[in-house]
Amino acid sequence: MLNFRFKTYWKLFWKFRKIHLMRTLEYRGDLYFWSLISTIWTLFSLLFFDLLTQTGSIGGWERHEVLLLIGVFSILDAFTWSVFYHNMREYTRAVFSGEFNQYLTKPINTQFLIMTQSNSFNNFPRLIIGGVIMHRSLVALNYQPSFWQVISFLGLLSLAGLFIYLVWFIFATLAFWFEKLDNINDIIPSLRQIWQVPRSVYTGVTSLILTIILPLGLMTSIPTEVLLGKASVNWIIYFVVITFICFIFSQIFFKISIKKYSGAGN
Amino acid sequence: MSPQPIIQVKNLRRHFKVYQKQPGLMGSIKSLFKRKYKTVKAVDNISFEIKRGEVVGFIGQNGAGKTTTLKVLSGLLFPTAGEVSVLGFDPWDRKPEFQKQFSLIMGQKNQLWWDLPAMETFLLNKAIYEVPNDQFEQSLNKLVDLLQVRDILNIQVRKLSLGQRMKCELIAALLHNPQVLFLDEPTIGLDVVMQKALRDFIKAYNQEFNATIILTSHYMDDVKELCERAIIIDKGKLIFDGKLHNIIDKYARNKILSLVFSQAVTKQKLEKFGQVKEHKQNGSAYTATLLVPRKKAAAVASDLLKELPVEDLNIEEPPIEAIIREVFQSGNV
Repeated sequence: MLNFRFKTYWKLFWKFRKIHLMRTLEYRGDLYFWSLISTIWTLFSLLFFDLLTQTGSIGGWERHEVLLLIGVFSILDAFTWSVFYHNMREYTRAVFSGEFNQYLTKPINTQFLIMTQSNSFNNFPRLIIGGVIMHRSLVALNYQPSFWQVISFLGLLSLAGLFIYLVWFIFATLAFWFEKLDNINDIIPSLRQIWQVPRSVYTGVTSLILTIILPLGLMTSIPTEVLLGKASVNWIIYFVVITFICFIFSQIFFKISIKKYSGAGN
Repeated sequence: MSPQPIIQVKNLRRHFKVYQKQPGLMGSIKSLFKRKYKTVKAVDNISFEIKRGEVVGFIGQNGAGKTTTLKVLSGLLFPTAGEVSVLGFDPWDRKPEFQKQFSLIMGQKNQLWWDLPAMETFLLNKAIYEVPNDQFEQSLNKLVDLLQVRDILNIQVRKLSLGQRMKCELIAALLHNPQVLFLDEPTIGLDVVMQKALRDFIKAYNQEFNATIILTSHYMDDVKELCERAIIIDKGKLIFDGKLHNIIDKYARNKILSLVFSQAVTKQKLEKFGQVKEHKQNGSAYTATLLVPRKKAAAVASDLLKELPVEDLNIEEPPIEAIIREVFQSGNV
């Protein structure tokens, strides 16, 4: 039974991707334009940090270490924009308009539908650019990570994606509590700069807030540190635990919030 | 033995808290700090049961609580109080086994992918509802033929007319052969020809699958043609539940007497027999329409035949929509 359902979910996941690829190809002008914009944005960001690190280091990170982190950031950010932004926007819009009915009546986990139903292909070039930046930085550092470092890096990068998703999902779920929240989906994008720099730049109270209480500052730093072989086990454990806590909280919050759904008009 | 009910609703309540804004700019400023809320009883203590295969019409004015009830039955809204069971499930649990057996179709909402042909949505629903290939092919062919939409399946949804889209919505919602259908204003915005086509289709679906259907509609023709039983809801309360024609017995106070005279008859003469609704002369034809109390209709007709130059006389029940309109307007519920 479980295996059967897994197959259904797996099939659905790819079905949604196919549908969105078909939709994207219907509007090729839009695809070209946004791919160009996101590429330019990544290159400017790279140029900015390249200039910034030419005269020294940032938070104790050497130039190519910072550029490696920028590469990791580009990949995470491209993923965030491609998947989360579109789905969260669709999620909150559906709650406000009453079209959330469609999610609730389907025999598929509602959160799965929310998270996978939509995506954008415009940020695909950024994923490639991020990979190239990472490769070039590692070559410049003359550093070859081990197989397990790469596996751990991928695991922690996925965990970072999950953490960002969960925080965003909690914010977006506020849509059930208010009649209108126009900028609810701008909160996380406006905080992206927090994980665009090494966590060591945060000190004092800022560090307490951004690496402990709401540890967005760890999102790219921890995976990059693992790749560079300079991660602290305590931080990794904390990262895993806080993501798990966030996951539990998001589930409870969603279950409570959904009872407030009124379906926009009756 | 009568079949077991598959929908059971007992003392259902669904209340909403609604913000009441005070008028003007000052009201808006005050609302930043303090707001007044009012509890709206969208559904207020209603109970009913529906058996397998029944087609039931939900009748009520806007805001009466019809759609809210359907949403509770579909598991979209959490009830404030009361018990609800559909196909033996609590809808709010939203179990896949339950969700695979019903469909909610709302005339004003759609599930079709706007930028793609309807066929893509059908294939997506096949995956969502885990419909086996052969069943999908069979159902799709049957529905497509019944609704006559084979030629539009591969055209982008945004390029279809409202009627064509509604037909495709129906197919998307019925591909998994649901046993229970909740239809909320399915014919809204459609022209009369398309309304008729959809009604015929709903009737055929009910007969073929013995499906249980609850229908809300503002078009009385939908209800009259499809439903034997009607439930009338007013301000969240159930005020009538029974055979559609029993509405006449319960609420119609008058019968309609249509008369044709061989020579002119004054309005004053007619008024002593009943309430004159219409009195006119059209060329050489003299006609009138009288409303008379139901119990006296036969006696009044006899008197009219004796006392006036009646050429033709018809005794009719008033149309159901007129009765319902009168019930709501008079508040006589």
